[in-house]
Amino acid sequence: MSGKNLSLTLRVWRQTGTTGKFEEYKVTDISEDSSFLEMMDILNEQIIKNGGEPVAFDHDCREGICGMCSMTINGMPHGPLPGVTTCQLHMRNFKDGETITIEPWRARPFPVIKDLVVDRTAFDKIIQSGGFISIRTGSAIDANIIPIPKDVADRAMDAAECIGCGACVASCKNASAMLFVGAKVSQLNSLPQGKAEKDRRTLAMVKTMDDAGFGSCTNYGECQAACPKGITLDFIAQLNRDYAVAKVKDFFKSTGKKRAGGD
Amino acid sequence: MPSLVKKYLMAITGLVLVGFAVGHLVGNLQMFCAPDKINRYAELLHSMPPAALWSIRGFLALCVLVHIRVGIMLAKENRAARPEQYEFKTSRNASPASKFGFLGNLYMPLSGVVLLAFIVFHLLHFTVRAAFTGIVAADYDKGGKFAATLGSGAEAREVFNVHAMVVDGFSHPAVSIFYIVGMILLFAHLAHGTSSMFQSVGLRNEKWRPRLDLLAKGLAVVVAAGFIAIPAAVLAGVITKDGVKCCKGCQPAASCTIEAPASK
Repeated sequence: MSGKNLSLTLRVWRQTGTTGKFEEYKVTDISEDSSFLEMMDILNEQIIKNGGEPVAFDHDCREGICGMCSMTINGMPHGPLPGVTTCQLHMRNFKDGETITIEPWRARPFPVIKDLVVDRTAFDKIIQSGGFISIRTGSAIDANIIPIPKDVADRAMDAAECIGCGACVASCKNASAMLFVGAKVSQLNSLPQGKAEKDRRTLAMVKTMDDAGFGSCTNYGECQAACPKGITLDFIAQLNRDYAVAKVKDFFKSTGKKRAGGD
Repeated sequence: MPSLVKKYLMAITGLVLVGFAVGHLVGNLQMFCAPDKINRYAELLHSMPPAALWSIRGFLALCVLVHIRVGIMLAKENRAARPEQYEFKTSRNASPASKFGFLGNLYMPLSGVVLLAFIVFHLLHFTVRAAFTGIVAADYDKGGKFAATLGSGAEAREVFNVHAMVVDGFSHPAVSIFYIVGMILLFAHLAHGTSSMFQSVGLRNEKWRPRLDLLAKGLAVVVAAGFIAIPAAVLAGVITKDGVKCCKGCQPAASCTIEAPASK
């Protein structure tokens, strides 16, 4: 197995209620092969042994696909390694004796519940407002009954890679959710099953995003650099396009009625 | 107003203003020709029907106002979206704005505010010709002591001497340095904005993003350098009231010898 183990100083954000502060901890003998979350487990065991309150942090699958883990490590959501979630970040990416600052996602729509755990209900509300296809469920239809060109299917799959972790919001200087909404809107708007509700979906999801209090996109591209799933700014461009078209169509849509008081 | 509509407005008004900046630059670079050239151009612009002139001015002013108003709304919302800042601040993207990571999301608002101060001063200086800037408009106008004469014989006419006014205006080092600083911030603003406007209206992809970023930086360099060249050339004594020193065809060959300027 691998060679040396690490000793680290951790500055961890501790919060109960509305205010929090940094707490400093020392951990020793951390294997380079352990994941960041395993290192946090070791820290928590150490805190519990000393009679303290363990650090609350989100995690679930620990395989990089569920989107639960959410730590800002040295200012970078999911840490310094591109294309991975915190659970897939290994301690070999850190140096012995290093001080690591660990903060929660910081955004108004993502209030801290405790320590490093934030409430990402805002994302669920965005999905509930349009991130679906209203279609009668029943037994699955034949897979090839609706022809979808390969490049369209590939593109939709690229967008569908989004695991909704919120790293885009956390990394954005404006705490904007455009990469998340762009990916979700593009995924459904690209496919024939989703096209029927394209305009309504785009308008509704952007409205919910705005109402939640996310910032706007400044096109700096921090989100794309932070995304563990490689979602690109292309999907934000597609959202901008689809929204413009939907807005114009909505502006000139027929009400189906004669104007009141007209002839 | 939906956030995306705000971004569309920023992009469209931004495009108009970039277009104006480029046109204005091309016009201004006539300062590097014989004085008659830019004076003739100014005469042409001022001979526009007042309705057309004021429509253009009004439209540009409207674009500036919308750009500022919506920009303030966006900046406020963006600040509010993150009430508690990260203690460890970092950037991992290479966008021009991210090079100034310490400014966070204030890169465009801050450069914009300085540009606004510049525009106000510039209008007072050369358009309104406010007294405190030291420009006495009547001196350069018809009948004034610095008025220019265009044409010869029956065609001869006195016109406003823009060339002399600009040379005089830029002869104060403090004024010229303020112009140069303003134009460096114009570079910063355009380097990000000119590429960003394409993304805001959805006309960009990962293939075109680096190309548009490069084009935006190139355009920003050309526009800023072009505008800086004029006050810099006046300060360096390259542009004088007689035209450009040692420019064949601009001046009679006799005046084209580099000598210490005669003391007044």
